[in-house]
Amino acid sequence: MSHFDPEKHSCLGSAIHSWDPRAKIVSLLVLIFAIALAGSILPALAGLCVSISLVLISRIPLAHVAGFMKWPVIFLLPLALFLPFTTEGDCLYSFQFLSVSRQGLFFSLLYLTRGVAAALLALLIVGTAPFTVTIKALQEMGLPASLTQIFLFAYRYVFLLNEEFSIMSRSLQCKGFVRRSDLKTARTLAMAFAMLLIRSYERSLAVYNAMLSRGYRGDIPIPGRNGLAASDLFKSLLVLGAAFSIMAK
Amino acid sequence: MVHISDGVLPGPMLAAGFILTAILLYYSLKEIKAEEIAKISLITAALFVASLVHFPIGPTSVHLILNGLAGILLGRRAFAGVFVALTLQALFFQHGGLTSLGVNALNIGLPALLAWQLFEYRKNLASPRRETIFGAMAGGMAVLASVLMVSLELLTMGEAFKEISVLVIGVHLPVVVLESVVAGAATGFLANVKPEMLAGGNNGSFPR
Amino acid sequence: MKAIEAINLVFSYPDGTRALEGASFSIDSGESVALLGPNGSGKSTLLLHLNGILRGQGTVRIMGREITEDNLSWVRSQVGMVFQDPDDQLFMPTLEEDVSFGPRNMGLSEAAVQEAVSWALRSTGLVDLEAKSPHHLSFGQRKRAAVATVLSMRPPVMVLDEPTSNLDPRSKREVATLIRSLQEKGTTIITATHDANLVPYMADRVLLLDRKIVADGDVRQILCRRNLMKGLGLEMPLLADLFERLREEKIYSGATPFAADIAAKEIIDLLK
Ligand SMILES: Nc1ncnc2c1ncn2[C@@H]1O[C@H](COP(=O)(O)OP(=O)(O)OP(=O)(O)O)[C@@H](O)[C@H]1O
Ligand SMILES: [Mg+2]
Repeated sequence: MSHFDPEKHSCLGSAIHSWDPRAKIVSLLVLIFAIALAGSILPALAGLCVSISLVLISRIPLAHVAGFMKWPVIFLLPLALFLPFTTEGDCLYSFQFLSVSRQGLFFSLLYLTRGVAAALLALLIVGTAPFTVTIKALQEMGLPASLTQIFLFAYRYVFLLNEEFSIMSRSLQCKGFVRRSDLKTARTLAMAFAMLLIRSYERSLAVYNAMLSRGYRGDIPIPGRNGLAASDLFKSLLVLGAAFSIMAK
Repeated sequence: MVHISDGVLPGPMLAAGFILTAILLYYSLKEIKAEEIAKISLITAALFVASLVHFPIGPTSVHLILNGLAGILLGRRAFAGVFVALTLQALFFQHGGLTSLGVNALNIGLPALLAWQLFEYRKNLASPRRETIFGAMAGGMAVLASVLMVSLELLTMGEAFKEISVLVIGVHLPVVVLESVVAGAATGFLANVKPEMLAGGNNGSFPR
Repeated sequence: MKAIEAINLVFSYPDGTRALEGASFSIDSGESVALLGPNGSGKSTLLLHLNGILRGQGTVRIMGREITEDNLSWVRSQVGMVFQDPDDQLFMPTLEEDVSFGPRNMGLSEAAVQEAVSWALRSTGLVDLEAKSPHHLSFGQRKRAAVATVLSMRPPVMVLDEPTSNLDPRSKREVATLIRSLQEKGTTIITATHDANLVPYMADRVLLLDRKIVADGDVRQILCRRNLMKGLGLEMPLLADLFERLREEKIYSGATPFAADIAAKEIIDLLK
């Protein structure tokens, strides 16, 4: 997380970046759902192709994107490895008491394809605009104001608190603390977490004072946005078209 | 593996997850006051950062979920905090998914609310270490509940998921113990140093 | 007219720490005043009283109107507050949103908001950084950004809590110059600071605080009083220290210089 910079590629100026955030979010979400619920391999693979093409269009480097597939793979791989053996069906190959079924293989491929394609698109939604643009678009589309603010402030302070926590762990290391799998490690890190929580709590009081000082009364006014341009609608039509053809299959 | 990825769960379960999450979000944010927003945001951010920390367990390492602590600190607002943290994880680390966001928020946020309720019972115990004891119970229980919910959901997908459901429970048992120790120690410390931070603490700024 | 009037402020924190014990002072409209005091003397606590964030015993009047529960939002439109830690002040994900936060809350039109924002960024030398996140700004930039967030509201009174701490020498001077130029445009300013050498560049009057006001007067008058300053553990400006020593040795008898060029001239005169 120390070098984590989610906004690194948020200003590349591609066709995806210039897309109105509201239209972009809605269209890509529909596409994500269409892919995540695709009923068979072919439409799922088609979805994966669409996702990869969109990533290519966005000009976000593929190497960067690939790095983010760690978590989906950690979750999906065990599933993909188990299912061929545990699903009952036509036996494709058998080895002593284990047997690989065609249905099982089908499901594991299906989950893997759908999961990776959907994760790519999620990355595309946040990766192609600064986070505040995305979150304000969500507010315009009905996200409650209180939730919007929690998103904004939590996002802002994650970086600062992460910095504070790294400094704390470094100073623990300087005092000879090594993380092991034992009770002492758990207790020490618990104390570090507690300190981090106390600092965040105290900072939250100061932040609230700073907000009050600048006229905060519970909501953050957002400036109005222009209507959708023809190009926004065109892009949405293309993506929605892809989504519906995946669903129809 | 408690954050379920996109592409696995069936449509009706995803829909049910979103509907229940929306209801719980409404409950969690009801009558929120301006002064609470900064607190919820900062505590959520701190728990988010803490959940990125690696704990070594034998040859591998694990992340904590810390939903028990979320409940202990944020009370009813914990569900909103969990929802925000999960959304940020799904968007920025692809940890969990957007289609499964409702289900995941439920899996992690509902136990956070239960942990808060369990933690309230500490008031019946006349022990100087009651916050540590109940903190540990709430912390361990919350993760256990999350893990059970995940494996139950996987089980509903059919016979073929039996082994993987058992596996999910198995690999998380050490995490349950670890979370329990961490939540207990942290809560005990906070009760001594900053008791007003705990949900239902003496300033009552996070209403029940 | 009196812009700020504080009468007998007494304040204790919930843990029992007594931070203020009867502080009283008043500041005329258009004045620039420095608030000096050792660590823990209650500077931040006192400043937080000036826009109603903390309210203990005693009275605070802004432009002659007493701060009450009902006029807090008016008070906050009059008194802009820059906090000691810029990370408390910069709570939005980008600088532009932070600087426009105040003007938007004041209900200005979008054009007026944009104008206020670009003026505030220009005044603090932060043009071109508006899209940056606070965690991508250096500490000095964040410090100036914190000033910009308040500047954009163009408040008639500004309260600054250690705006120059941890800045490099040039940035310190720039902040002092900014304070002076705001004062010249009619803003009333009170600045808490530990930089005694900078005080003459940004203020005409000094308040010394040690839970209450222990001295109040012209910059020259206060900063040259060695016993008073040393008694509170404060340092005198270097040149004032030097020339007061010369005065004590009966070598020098003129006015105490605070600027190096004037001091140099005086020394050359002495040597002649
Ligand atoms: N939130 C708080 N709770 C309890 N005590 C506090 C709190 N904030 C400040 N204090 C105490 O009140 C006293 C005055 O603090 P204050 O921050 O006003 O001093 P200061 O003059 O601004 O100091 P510095 O030069 O270090 O900024 C100190 O003794 C401090 O420990
Ligand atoms: Mg201070």
